[in-house]
Amino acid sequence: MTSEDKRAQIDRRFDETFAVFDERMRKEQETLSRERAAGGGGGGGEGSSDEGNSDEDSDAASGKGEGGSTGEAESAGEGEDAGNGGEAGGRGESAGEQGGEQQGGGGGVGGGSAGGSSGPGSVPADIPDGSDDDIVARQLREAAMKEKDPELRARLWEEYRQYKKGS
Amino acid sequence: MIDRLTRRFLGALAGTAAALLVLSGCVVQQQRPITRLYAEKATAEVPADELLDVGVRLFDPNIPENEAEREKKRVFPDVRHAESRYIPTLIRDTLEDTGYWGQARVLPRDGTGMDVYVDGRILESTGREIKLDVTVTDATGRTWFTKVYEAEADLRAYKDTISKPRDPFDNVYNTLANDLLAARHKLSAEQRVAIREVSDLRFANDLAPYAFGSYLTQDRKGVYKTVRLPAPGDPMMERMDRVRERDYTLVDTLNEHYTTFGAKMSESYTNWRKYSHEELEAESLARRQSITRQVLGAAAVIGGIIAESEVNSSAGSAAATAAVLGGIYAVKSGFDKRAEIKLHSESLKQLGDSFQAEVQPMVIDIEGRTLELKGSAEEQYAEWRRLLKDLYENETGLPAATSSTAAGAEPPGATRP
Repeated sequence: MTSEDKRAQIDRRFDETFAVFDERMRKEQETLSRERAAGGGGGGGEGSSDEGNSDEDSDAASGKGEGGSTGEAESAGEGEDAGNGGEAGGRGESAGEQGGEQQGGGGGVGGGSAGGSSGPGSVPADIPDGSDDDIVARQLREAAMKEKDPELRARLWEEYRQYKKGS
Repeated sequence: MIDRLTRRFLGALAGTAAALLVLSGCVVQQQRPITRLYAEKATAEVPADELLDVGVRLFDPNIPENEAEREKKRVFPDVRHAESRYIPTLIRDTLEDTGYWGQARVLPRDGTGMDVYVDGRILESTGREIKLDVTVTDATGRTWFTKVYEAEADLRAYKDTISKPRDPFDNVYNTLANDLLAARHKLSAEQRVAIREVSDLRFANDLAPYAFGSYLTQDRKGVYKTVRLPAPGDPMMERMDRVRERDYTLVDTLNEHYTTFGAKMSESYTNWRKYSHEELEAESLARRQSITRQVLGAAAVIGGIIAESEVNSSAGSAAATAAVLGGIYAVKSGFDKRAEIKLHSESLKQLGDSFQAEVQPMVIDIEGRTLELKGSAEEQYAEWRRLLKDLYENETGLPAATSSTAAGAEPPGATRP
């Protein structure tokens, strides 16, 4: 066996194990998304930045207190293993870099589906195309699209809307 | 024989005591609104290569081993275990909101693979106050700072739990975020980039030390420095990057577990803190009243006796007797307050036990699930270590010098011991 053959063999094995790992993580994240949707939670109680509220003391002793954060920390991903889906991507990259780099984790997300229909795999008309989805939104979208139970599917889409609204 | 000055003092004290006795029954502890502090937010985009990823590790719950001490300090072990997971999620959310950081993630206690680490120990946590001992380090091994954060609960957080939920100790998390930012600002752009490089290389070194060991060095203090960087297109590094992506996914998934856990316990935890705050306040008030009544009651009795021995008129004598009787009643009611204190203590214990029973299954569940996830990841990491070793030998024609680290099967990032 040549060195090239050996390298190809190692890479094949890498791909296989990556696929197993990615699938395991995808399932785990799907379960988590469902749980969160079922619990109606979705980040309740968190957050420290309710600027402009009606508290009497608006004298923020330190810091500005508002102003949109621009340095986003979304996953960039390399998109190497198309089909495996669910990649978290690498380090937090700045927002501008996300654009075309996210094909890795989509798993057939992109193409706008037939609106109106409410079966599994369909996307409600008011749902955006998902091109700017981060990993959580992507997981929610995938879970909603795959869900067969209409009630749970509706809740997952609702969860997705809420998440997108807050992100 | 009591001198004139003492008599006057005791007389005045008796008068004051009588007045205070009346007032002490209706003293309400008024807390001034706490000034809210905010975390500073980025107003301009932070360059991508300077964005540092922050890992907030699960806190040390700091549970006393001795049961008597636990009772004395009112530490409920399962509540503390829950808090040690919950508090890091709040810190993470705060840091994420600022926009100054790359990814902010909650990590297991042994988690690595990030650029900056926040470690903490819960010194005190009740519905009334919090005290955290926090240390921030970076991937090079340098300590940024260690600080004890302490705050009283912002009671408004207990009031608007429905409309705008927030944590009563947001000031602590926001202050910590600002301190972290200040420490970050002290670093030059080059230093930030260097931290990221060391972080990447330490990850690579953990998986394939025979290939990446020479890229890093440690000074006498144990601080890591980059000696050189892998060449562009390095086949080992290319595969390593793909492994690292999986490590990020694992970290993300574990992080989501903690998020879900936090969301699950948030409401009942807030309620527990709210009610325990009320009980703690009521207990403190009862304790103060008990002491006040006993002390002032005793003073009234003494003052009354002295006055009785001094006055000649029947009206004065009646007043002195009334003071004595009032004093006795006050002392007695002071003792009665002890029962009230005990009642509040008992109530606090019941509240703690009840919340503990509620949160315990959640803690067990998340512990089990994260362990299971890490366990299954370990198998994959073992395989990747093997493949990297094969690749190295194939590329270089040299045998990979294995060490105990290289042979280990643990995931290097998310769950390294």
